[in-house]
Amino acid sequence: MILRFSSILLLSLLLCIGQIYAQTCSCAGAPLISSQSTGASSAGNLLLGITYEYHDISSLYSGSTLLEDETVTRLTQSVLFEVNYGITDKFSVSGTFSYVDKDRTTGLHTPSGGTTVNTAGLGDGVFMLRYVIHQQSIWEQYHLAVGAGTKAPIGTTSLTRNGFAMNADMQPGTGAWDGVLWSYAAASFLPHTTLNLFLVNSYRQTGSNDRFTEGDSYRFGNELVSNLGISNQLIGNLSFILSLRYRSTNSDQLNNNRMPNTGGKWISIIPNLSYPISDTISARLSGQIPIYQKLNGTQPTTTFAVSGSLFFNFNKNNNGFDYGLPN
Amino acid sequence: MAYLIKQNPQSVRFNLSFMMIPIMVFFISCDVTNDVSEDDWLIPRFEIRDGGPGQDGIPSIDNPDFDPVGAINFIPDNRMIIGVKFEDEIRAYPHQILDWHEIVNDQVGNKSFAIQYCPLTGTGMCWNREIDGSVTEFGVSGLLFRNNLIAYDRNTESNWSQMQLRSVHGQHSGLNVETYPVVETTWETWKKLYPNSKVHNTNTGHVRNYTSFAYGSGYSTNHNDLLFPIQNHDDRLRNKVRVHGIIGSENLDLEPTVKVYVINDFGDGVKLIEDTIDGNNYVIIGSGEYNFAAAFLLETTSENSTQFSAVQEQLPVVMQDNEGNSWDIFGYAVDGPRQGERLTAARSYTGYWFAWADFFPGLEIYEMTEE
Repeated sequence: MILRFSSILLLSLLLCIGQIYAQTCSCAGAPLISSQSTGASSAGNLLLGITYEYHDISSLYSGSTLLEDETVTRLTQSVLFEVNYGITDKFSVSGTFSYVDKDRTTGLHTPSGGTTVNTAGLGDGVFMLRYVIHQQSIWEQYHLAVGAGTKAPIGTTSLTRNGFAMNADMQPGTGAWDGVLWSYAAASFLPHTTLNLFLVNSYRQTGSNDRFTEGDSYRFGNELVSNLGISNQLIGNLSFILSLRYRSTNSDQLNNNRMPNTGGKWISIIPNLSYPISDTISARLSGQIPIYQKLNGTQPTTTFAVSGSLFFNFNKNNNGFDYGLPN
Repeated sequence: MAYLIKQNPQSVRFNLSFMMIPIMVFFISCDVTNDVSEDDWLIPRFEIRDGGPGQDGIPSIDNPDFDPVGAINFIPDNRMIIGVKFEDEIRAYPHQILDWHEIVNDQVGNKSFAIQYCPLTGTGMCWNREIDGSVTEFGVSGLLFRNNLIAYDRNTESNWSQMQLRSVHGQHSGLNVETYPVVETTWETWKKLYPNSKVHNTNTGHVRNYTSFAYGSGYSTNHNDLLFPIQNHDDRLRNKVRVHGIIGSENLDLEPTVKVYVINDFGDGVKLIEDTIDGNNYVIIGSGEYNFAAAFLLETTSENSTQFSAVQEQLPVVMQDNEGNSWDIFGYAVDGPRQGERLTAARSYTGYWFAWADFFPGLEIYEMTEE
């Protein structure tokens, strides 16, 4: 029983880490890390994670209608590096850093076959303090945690083309301090089932910046992301996580004017496969399949995304988990 | 660590070395600015902006398709079109198409031309595509100067400022473009003017929502809705008031006199104005009721001594002269001893006031007088 519960806890941890997605802004801009893992849940625990994401943003939508356009392709590749540390059993801190590489090919309809512009650089970082309201245990099989933090503008925002500052959506960073709120709830139902149910929410209140173009103040739209999902063991130690993601962003603003063709609502399916390679290392493969979007105006958006992750979990105690035995 | 520009795209890239990057980012600077070109521009570089979509990210239409007026059902009466006339061939290009493509490379007979429309400044024109003896296509560069379209020609990649009517960068830098007269008016008026004309349909080779607005339904009327900052504010008129302006000289270095005529001030019916700018005489015809304006340069001695007067209720004929000629809105003599001749188009076009004021600070506003 305790072994099963340990497995579920590990799975929970992985699925939470699975929320560390690079959220691409509505205009295919800098990936913004808007959802974070619950991180190290015990005092002294250290969790490291590295994720590579391949994000094809070539679908063109007008509102909720797919436009069969073959003139432009967009691709964003990101690497996220996360550090979590449990200060106490209740409090943990985390930092997530990103590196972003963007390709935009335009003019595929022209005789020249088009032009590809590539930008790459350090992306923004997210720093959070989290508090576990209720730690999951065998006796009380639910977990509640909340967090708050900031997205720090450590990313590059000064890339130019032919001497002209490139548009915000081609810069790796956003150039703005954002406030981030986060919550996580999960429940398991042993001994009836090994199924785990979870809900992760994040909200990002964006700031503005004047770093893209001199004299201009650009502000990405506020963002709300909710993930509702289930997880379970599949075969042996192989586990699956399947979630439904709802994401909503306001329109971007330039000099307090609403930017057309930015912002909208998205619903995606997020499938995950997780596998513990050893006691301390686990791997995850993940995808993103858009199923519905209602965008403001006409804009490119996600065609699909895939990612691969490795996580390294260094427990203070070799036997790891807090079994939550009743006092 | 910097950006690259590559012809012939590789739409899919996968760098194995990419996974090493996050380790590096903690040890390196984030200053990755690189410039490819420092070529001279004829306009202030700091006012040139990346509009967002990139070169040809707004795709020009290079194989336009047309239907008769009667077959067109996607244009509301109050939305605008840009019309051209070459001899007997009359064509209209709806803003609803141009909003999404900005440039249509077209041809009538041996006349190659490009319709260029900038939705942000509301400026629509027809440019000769034959430059230095060879025909080129124009495309959208993705750059803006004072909110206005910078086009590029695909033969030389020279950049052209639409509102300055000249190349501002590249091999053709400094070259003025030849324009042909256009009529920019509502669909309702166009149907009255030319019910047998051809209209660009939605078979553009691209898929867009042609019943919507590329920059929002309120952009053309909301005076506060501006995408990029204005350098030269002028509050004599509200930002989105549509005016027809004349640039007094081809040489912008001579700081020519620029004068604008407020289209709404032409009032009901058709009104004709004779004006002199930088020593040249012009005849300007317009209507607030029908929402159009056009200007013609009187070049010859005989034209300068000709007396023009407005014609009412005979659209597309808008004026006549004391020699017995009737002139249509494109400047063709459609009746009389000069039938078939065409007046010279002024260097003029219609656009939003804020754009005219931003491009030509200190410009004059023609004061309409009640007749």
